[in-house]
Amino acid sequence: MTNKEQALSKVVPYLLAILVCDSGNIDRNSGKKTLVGIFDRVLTKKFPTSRWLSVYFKLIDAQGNYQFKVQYAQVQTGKILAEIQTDALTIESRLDTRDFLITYPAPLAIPEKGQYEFRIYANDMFLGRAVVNAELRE
Amino acid sequence: MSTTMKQTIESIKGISDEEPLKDVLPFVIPRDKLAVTDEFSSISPTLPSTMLLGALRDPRLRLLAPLTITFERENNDIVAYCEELEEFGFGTHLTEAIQDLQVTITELYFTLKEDSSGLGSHLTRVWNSLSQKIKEVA
Repeated sequence: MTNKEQALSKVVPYLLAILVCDSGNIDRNSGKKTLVGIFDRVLTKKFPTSRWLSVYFKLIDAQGNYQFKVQYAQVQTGKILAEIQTDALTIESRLDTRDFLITYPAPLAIPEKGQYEFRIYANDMFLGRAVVNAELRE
Repeated sequence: MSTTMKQTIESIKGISDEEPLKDVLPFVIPRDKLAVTDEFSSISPTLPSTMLLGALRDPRLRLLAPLTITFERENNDIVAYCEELEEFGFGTHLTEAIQDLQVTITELYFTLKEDSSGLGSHLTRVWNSLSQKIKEVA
């Protein structure tokens, strides 16, 4: 185990919210985040397809150093289609809430009809998920 | 955008029928470890051998420390096993197995809490483990 891994917190954060949206932005002055086009269903004329999207999540009850990981997975097959991991960051107080906005720099693959999910991990601890259903547009 | 990233994006199969939104500030947290699949393959094993469970999906309960879960395939099902509580969750895919285990642990917590004064030695040990790791919230 490396020194970096030893320093990671064992305190389990509580996931307050996780949302999938088309995109988002952050006010340069206030730091407030704006989410555009929140959705949990993708309609497409054909598969495979892909989507540009962002994931927002907010948590509380964290204290110490954390690396956050977001996995994008196809539920039925278990395939991990994308994974993103942050550098270690420090959260001082368990009372502080923290929110994150991840805008993927590439469209995410949707190979076929079905359920897809974004899994949130903090220091490899699974906190929760957001589900997106992909369907054919009639 | 790096050449590698461009190649990664271009290698994703499926044509998006949506354009990315313009004029939004990108991304907030560092993400030097982005991985995106190509060929719709999985970038990591579809079934992890272990996972640290950090939430129970019940608003009444919070985990103070993660529970270690191991996974196995059994015929066409996935089995999630928590050794310290000797509890199982089953499902046709990973998420279903985790959710089943989360429900099982939640039910076990409230059942043992109700009967905590009259438990045998084995269940007393399980209850002690549960009550150390789980906190009830209002």
